[in-house]
Amino acid sequence: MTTPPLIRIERVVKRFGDVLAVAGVDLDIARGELFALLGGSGSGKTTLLRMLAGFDMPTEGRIVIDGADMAGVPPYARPVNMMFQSYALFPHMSVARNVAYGLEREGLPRSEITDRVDQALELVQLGAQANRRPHQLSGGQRQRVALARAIVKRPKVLLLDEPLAALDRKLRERTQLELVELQRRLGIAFVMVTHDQDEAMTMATRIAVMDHGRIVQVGTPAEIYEQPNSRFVADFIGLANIFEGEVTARADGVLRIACPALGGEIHAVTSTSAAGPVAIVIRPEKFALGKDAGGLPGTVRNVVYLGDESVFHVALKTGAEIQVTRMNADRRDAGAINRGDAVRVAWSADSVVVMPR
Amino acid sequence: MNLPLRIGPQGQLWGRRLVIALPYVWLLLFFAAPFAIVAAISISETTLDTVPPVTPALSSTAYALLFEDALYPAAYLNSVRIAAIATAITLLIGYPMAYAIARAPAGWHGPLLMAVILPFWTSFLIRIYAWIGILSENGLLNQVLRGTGLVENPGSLLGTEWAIYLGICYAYLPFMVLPLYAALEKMDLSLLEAAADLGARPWRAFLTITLPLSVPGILGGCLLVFIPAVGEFVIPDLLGGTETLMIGKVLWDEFFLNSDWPVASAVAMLMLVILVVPIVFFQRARARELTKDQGAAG
Repeated sequence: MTTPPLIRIERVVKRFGDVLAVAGVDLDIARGELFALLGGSGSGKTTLLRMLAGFDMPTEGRIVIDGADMAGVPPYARPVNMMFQSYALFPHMSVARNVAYGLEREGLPRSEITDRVDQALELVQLGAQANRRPHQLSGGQRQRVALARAIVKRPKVLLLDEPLAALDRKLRERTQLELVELQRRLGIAFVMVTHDQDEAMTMATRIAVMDHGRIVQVGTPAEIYEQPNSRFVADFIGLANIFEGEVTARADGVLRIACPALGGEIHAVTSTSAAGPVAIVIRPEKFALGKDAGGLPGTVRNVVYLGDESVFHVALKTGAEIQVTRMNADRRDAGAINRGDAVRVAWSADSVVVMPR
Repeated sequence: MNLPLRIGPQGQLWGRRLVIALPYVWLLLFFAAPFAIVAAISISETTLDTVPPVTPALSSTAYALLFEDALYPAAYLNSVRIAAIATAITLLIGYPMAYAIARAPAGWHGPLLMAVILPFWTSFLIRIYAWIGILSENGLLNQVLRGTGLVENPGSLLGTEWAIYLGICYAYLPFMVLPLYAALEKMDLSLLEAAADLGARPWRAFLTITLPLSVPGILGGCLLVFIPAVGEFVIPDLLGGTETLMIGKVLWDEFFLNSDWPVASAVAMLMLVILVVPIVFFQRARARELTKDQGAAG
């Protein structure tokens, strides 16, 4: 490791009474990362973020930000700023005064405060709304005020608690890309909490998947999706067909696995050294579906048409039920395969993910 | 026999009118009518021993007297001054109490508020009488002071202006605490986290966030204490000295010692004006601010 990480989380445990919210987390986050903590409710992701902000203190372990141990450092003395899920805008202050609040606490000269507030509001395209009160703004505008208020202090880390949860879908998708663009421009590390896997995949450079207070897997979005290390991650991120099998032989990076659900022995190209009973994951888009092609025979039980793609629920002759997605690349594709049709499914040995059961 | 209760559209309309009319009837009978009577008496001719029935007239003698005799302006000013000081003291005591209750663990709010309201279960008069026992020359307070040797010869607090402040604070504290609690309790605590996150120490966050957001509670509580305190009669009469001049006492004296009902009514009318004008002005200003905010939203 050449450069020390910006944030180092070491064996952090957080208990609220009897409840174990964070159960031992080790994590390094580098400068310039857009890091996502992804998990369901109660996974401990928000508690971890609040410990970075200083609202909660770890029961055990320590948090180091930019070389400084944060033990006992209150929120107002930390080099981080947070964008709250509820935005937490001060209702009795104008937009400009909300953004200026953090700079006023630093005791900067008036003229510098005004300049930096103007810049921050320009950055989020709210220059014209500077004198409005928060309740006079739309949801999207409020979100941008919260963002401007959090970045105007030029923190080393920006913490975002479900930053887009309160926006409607269209606005959310656009804002995701705007946030990524802003993060690149500012070069500040973003640490974001989200329960929305699409959001994490779209925005993050790295994702930590959390469950029951632990980090289950850390990796780039592609690693998390293509190389899940557990059934939980495979199931949590995207659609997954999961089967059970038993490794029978291994040669030249190819595993031979007995998998009755997929019609007997299958091959998997993988670097894992799994042996004995394993779980096998094949993503739905990795299957090739056809009426005449080769592969395992089955019957289409149901078709879910989503516009850009369709999801086929196929009952294999082996008794297993799988999901297959197929792009509707040609307008005639939709409707080519229907409910009740006899089909064959095929896959390549590269697309088979093997993990210990 | 069981008749189906069927209310047609006509019946429903009358039912609605009745429900709306009830509070107005109440206001008319117990506020507007007595108010009109007092107003009428205040402008009738004042002679010695003017008690009802008075002959209605259009005379300003009673009002003229209020400005001629220095006693009345002095009493008004003194009442406003004492009420203002007492309100300020009540606010200083009530705010920390309301804050502590609003920030206490959720299960404690009910019992703590109950404790604030509990004294109401005893008659107001009895509680003020009880203070006489505590504050008098040989009362509980002086016994403790003498017994501990802290003060050798304490004078009596009873009969001083301080006794009035104490009485008003004691009696009206719940009226201060409840609106303050309501304002503080509904405050979004993530605002304080945001303030801390932006670099505000706790005391600074209180001054810049909590205090401004509790202004409606402060104003509400102050009005609820100030208004009755201005016209207060029982507390100055029982705890205050004979030389403490408050308008409530003057009013009582005019009614029952001088039996001069026109002057007494004029005193009451003027007190109403003194209290109502600033309140109306204040309400207007607040309403204007609200509409200004909403107007800019469009």
